[in-house]
Amino acid sequence: MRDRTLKYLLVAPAVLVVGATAVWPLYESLRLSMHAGRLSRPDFPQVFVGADQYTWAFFEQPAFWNSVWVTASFTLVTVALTTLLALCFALLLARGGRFRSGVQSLLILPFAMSPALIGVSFRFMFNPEFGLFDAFLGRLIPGAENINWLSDPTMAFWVVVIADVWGWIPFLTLVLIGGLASIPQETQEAAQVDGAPAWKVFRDVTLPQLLPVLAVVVILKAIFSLKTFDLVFMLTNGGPGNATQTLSHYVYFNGFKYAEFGYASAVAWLMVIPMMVLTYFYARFVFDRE
Amino acid sequence: MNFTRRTVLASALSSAVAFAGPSTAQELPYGLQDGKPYDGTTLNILSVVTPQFDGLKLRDAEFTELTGIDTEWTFIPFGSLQEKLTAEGVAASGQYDLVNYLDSWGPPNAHWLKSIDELMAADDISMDRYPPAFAKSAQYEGETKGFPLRAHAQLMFYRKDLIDTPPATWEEVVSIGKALQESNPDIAPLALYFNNDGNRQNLFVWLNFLWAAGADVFDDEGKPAWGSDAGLKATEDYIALHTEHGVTNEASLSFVEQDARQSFMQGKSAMIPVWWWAYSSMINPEQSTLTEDQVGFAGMPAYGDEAVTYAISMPFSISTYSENQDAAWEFLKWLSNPELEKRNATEREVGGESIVNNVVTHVANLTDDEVNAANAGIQKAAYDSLANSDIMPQIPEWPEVGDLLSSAIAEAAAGGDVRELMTEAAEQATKVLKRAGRI
Amino acid sequence: MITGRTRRRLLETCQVIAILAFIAIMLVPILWIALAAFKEHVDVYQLKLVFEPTLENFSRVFAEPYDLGTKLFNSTIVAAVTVVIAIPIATAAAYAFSRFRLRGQTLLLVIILATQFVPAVVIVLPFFLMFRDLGLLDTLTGLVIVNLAIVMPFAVWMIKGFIDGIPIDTEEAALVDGSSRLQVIRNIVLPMAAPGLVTAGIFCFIIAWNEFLFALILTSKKAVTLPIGLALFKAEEGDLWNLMAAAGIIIMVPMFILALLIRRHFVQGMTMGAVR
Repeated sequence: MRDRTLKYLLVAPAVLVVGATAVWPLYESLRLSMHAGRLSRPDFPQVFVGADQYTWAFFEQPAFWNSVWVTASFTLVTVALTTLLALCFALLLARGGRFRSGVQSLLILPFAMSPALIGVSFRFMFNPEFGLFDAFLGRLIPGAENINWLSDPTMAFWVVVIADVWGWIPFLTLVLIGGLASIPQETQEAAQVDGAPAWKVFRDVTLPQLLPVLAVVVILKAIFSLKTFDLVFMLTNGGPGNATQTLSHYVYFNGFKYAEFGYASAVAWLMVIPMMVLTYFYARFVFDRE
Repeated sequence: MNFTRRTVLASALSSAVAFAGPSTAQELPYGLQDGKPYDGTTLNILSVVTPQFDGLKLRDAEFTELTGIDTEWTFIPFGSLQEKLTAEGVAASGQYDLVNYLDSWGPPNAHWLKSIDELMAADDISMDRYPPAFAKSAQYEGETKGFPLRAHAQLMFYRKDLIDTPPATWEEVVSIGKALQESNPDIAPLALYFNNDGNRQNLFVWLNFLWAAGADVFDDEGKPAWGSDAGLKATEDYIALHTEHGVTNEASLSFVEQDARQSFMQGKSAMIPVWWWAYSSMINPEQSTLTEDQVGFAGMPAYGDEAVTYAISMPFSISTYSENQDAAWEFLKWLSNPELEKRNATEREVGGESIVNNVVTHVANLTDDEVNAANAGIQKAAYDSLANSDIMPQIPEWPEVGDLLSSAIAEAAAGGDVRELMTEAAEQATKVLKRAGRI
Repeated sequence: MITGRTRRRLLETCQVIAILAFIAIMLVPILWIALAAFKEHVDVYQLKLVFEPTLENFSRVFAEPYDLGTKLFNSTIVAAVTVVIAIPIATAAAYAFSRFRLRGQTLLLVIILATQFVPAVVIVLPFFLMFRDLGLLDTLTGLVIVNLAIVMPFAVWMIKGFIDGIPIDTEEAALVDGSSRLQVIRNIVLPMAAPGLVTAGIFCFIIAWNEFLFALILTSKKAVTLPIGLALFKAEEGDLWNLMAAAGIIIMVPMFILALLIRRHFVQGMTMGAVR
């Protein structure tokens, strides 16, 4: 069989699987977003309403914009914090040796915890009366024992951020360690021999070569942050108020708690657009590296 | 007198029927049809996890013997029940013949829950057998959708080793609280729960204030009415317990109901207004550090002149997607009969399994001496609490509107402006209701 | 006067302390939850390190109504079947993307990646309706289909990375010698990529094992998986922390073991696609 045909045949199953299981529901959800889609009335999905739900979200629903804001700030903060911290730890651990290797192995453990589990655990630990972190931080930082971590909107947001960053640092640290490991030693040693201080070596030699991996890390983390649901669902359920209600959670609430499937689909589709943009850039990035 | 077998049987049956209520033409008790017309049917029941229903399930062999109908119970823990119910409504598959749900989930699902008014009339069953608030919770738009088999009243629990006389008004709560802060600074006086986690629990006590002030959630036209002067004042007084008087547990801001109960059970708070069923866990050494001598209960305090309490229930309904609706009705009649309910709250063991349950919902049982004797008199206290009691509005949009309110209250307790927040909530709620075509 | 060597030693000590602090922060939450799994409900709320341990939580989570045993079984089946189907399909596609230039390959890759980069919440509702019509609600088959959609992008991406790292010379030599492309794939590429395939397989297993939202919405009684078990501990009386912790351990332990197995190859696979 000619290569020309074969290569498409090889790709076909994957494309078909995805087509059937993802592209179709995406189309369906677009269709649903243009109908009233209320589960609390008979004859689901009821009348065609066009772009009505989209307008409602944009102009009439402060809760929608709240979710946009929460998601955007959450993404920015977690991406920045995780990348920075992961980079620091990667630099600390990259040097090799038995101790560091051992620690690297331990790093894989938190990755095996699902976000839902992390959410539950952190909720338990930040409980003001019997939570471990509450007791620990309360003793460490004066005045902190009075903080109601999960009922203050700002604090609750930060708890979610901390839980998310905690969950992702190990994984991203390992990725960056791998990235650092593939940078040829010679370039760094050459710079050091020249007498440049360590931080300068890092800035001028290591960092530029690390950039591709760093970019992958940032894009990946951004995409995962934008999608955050499990963590929020188990940790704060969007509360207090809707201080931690990310877009995914907002969609879930409107769809399954308020039974407004049509509206929820509309909001969900509004999320797809930035995702597709990010995905496109990621794909281009991967291919352009050839 | 000739004690033939027939006379004995007849008298036994008629006493059972007499206890069960007005007798009908059938020979079987509880209004069940004789002749086993549905023999061989199997009913699927979706229910919440609770010892009360475990107790019913363990006894349902009696029902199968009388009617030949078999039952299969699916117990789903509360945290997932709402999704299950929604899914069942969408799937429309009739996978479950009977469903159990929280009353506020009734309205959005009412379009597929069977109205049983006609069936009730034919079998001479009236909703009067339940306290008005409980009955209302199983009805929607004037139609009865099911029976409130599991329903709760609010009570004020307090440490009777620290407090001699329970508070009769919320003002007394404040004064007792302040006295307690002097005498026992290690324990917080009052555990409230202001946190908003999507379950609207911080509205439970708020409603006491709102209703006693003569205000309501919606007016007669269905428009938000909590922004009235009386309503706003009531809300302010509710929030003031935490912000102004400071008699609440400091962590009340982040407490949801279960955290507040834990606080009380761990001896960290001295009073808590919560559901009557919390009593058994409060004196259970596996769950609480308190003993029976330490836990007292009384009716909810009054705000102003009266105490109006909030009642909640978990009714059982028949699904209109079910293929066995008639058989399901037979089962519902048996399941909800007062004699069974009484046994379930007085007998502590069924077939070797220990069942501890104090929930009864029939008026007859709430005031029954034996039931009260077996449960420290809590049913009578609950019954008094229900004398002036109401439920949350029964509209499909309630979860969304309720969440707006819950959010506003949480923010107010955290120091926000009460009037501003409640008015904003009213504006947003009006928009939601208009869009839903309700006003 | 601090000599160079002392300075280096000091620096090294600082680094070690920092690393230890880091690891402590990473592991303490896990250990704390593990402790709670052995506590009685009452003890959970006291911050006690010393208590009377009990195994009762574990026996309770396996009993009705939580029934963790069935969920464990369901999770294992769903994850395993997903991996068994996903890896071959992904390998084929990954090879094609790696060795050939395809028309519209960016588009194709975007489509394949699209499922992971689109929030699950977007597609869970249509999935629900679709499965209802097909009778796939609350079935393991349905879950496998859904998880296939989720893991496919990861599988393709990782395996492509591994294949990219295999020198093309051996293949070209074999082709010149007269082997067909398929033979080349079978005899040369697959054996060399085997560690990568295993890594990708385990990675996808972990993803499917931890999948939450779809399992929450699409199952109700028979096909419920482990992570949903966690949600079940939100009872009417409140959260049953000790039971949740016990369930959490049961969920985590298999994953820990698997994750340790792939640790070495893991990082390689992640970065190969991006580093040149």
